[in-house]
Amino acid sequence: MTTSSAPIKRAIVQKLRASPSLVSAIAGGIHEGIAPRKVRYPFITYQLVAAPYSYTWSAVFLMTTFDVSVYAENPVDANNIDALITTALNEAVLVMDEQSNMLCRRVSDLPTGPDIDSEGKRIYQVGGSYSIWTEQPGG
Amino acid sequence: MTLESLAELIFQAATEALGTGAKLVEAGAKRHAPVRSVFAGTPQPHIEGHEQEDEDDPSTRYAIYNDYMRPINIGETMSKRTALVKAGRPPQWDTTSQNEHAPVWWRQRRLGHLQSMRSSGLVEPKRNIIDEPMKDMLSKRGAYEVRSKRAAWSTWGHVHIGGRLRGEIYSLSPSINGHRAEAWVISPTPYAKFQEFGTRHNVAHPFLRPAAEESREEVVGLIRAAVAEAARTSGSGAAIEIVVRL
Repeated sequence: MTTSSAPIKRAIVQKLRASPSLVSAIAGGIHEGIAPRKVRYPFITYQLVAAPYSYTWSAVFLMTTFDVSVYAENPVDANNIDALITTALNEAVLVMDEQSNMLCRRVSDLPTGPDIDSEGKRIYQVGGSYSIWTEQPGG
Repeated sequence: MTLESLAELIFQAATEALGTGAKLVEAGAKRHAPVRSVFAGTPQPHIEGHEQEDEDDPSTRYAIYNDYMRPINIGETMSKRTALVKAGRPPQWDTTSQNEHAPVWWRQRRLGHLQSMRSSGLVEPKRNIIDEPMKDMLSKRGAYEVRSKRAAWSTWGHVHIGGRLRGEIYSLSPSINGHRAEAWVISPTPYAKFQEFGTRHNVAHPFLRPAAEESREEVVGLIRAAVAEAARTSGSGAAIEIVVRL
């Protein structure tokens, strides 16, 4: 039996929300993919990049990659929140249904730069890619 | 044979396999690359024997890619090539499925093709293909994007409509830098970064990294097979243990 990457997404959000300093730092919340237009800055988005399965003789692994980005109105906030995210997720033990966490590690920064939003404000996007490997149940 | 020359021979074989692996990643990236939807979702008249292009349908997108870039069927060929790799043989491009998808769709993306269809009376003539594109061929959004020239891009002497990101993914020949071999798969399209990582306004549509992740095991298998083959055929007779990591 194999499960999808959905429990991993839930576990990531749970882990981020479990950090009080991070929750108090983000006024706009946590969103999957893209945030609605009227959301206040700063906010966090996360997105699944890839989730290939790896089969061995005795186990099934799901090797996912997630991007977690911060959008903020100034680069200092963006980098500070990104550091909090790294603290929360890097080498973290994620608790998820029907899968056991083997690895959760930040593997790269995102090469993104400032953007201009619809109101003409300069918005800074800072984030990283996280590699999360899980073992599937009954693999 | 000295150990140095043996190592050089093995490294050369591994580098060539890495180049083949880069082509696999390139093909995967082309499958994942988002394509601007400009064509209407209704069946096109006057073209018999071919399916309507639906850019949301991955299988048709593979066919489009195959018709234009290489005479292969990615879905079928991948499994055949994987079997070859597992058998320790180098993968071959499959040319048997060349005629399964006649080279229609990419040509249909050419502006000249649309214009020739108009001039030959195959479709309802309009004043100008750019000013007033055929509504039975293009979606409403597609018509706007053709009219405003946002969707047009040039390659190989042709102006195409949409598909620029997918058409501009390349794998470079592997290069050796000291003790390190590299093979790059690049997407030089200016907005590729925004598709790969997303922006405040656009959700990300990653296409390079998923291709790399999905091809990882196959690329390692290719290199492992090439290294084993080089060590076996070098005639050294030495017992060598080689670990390939990616």
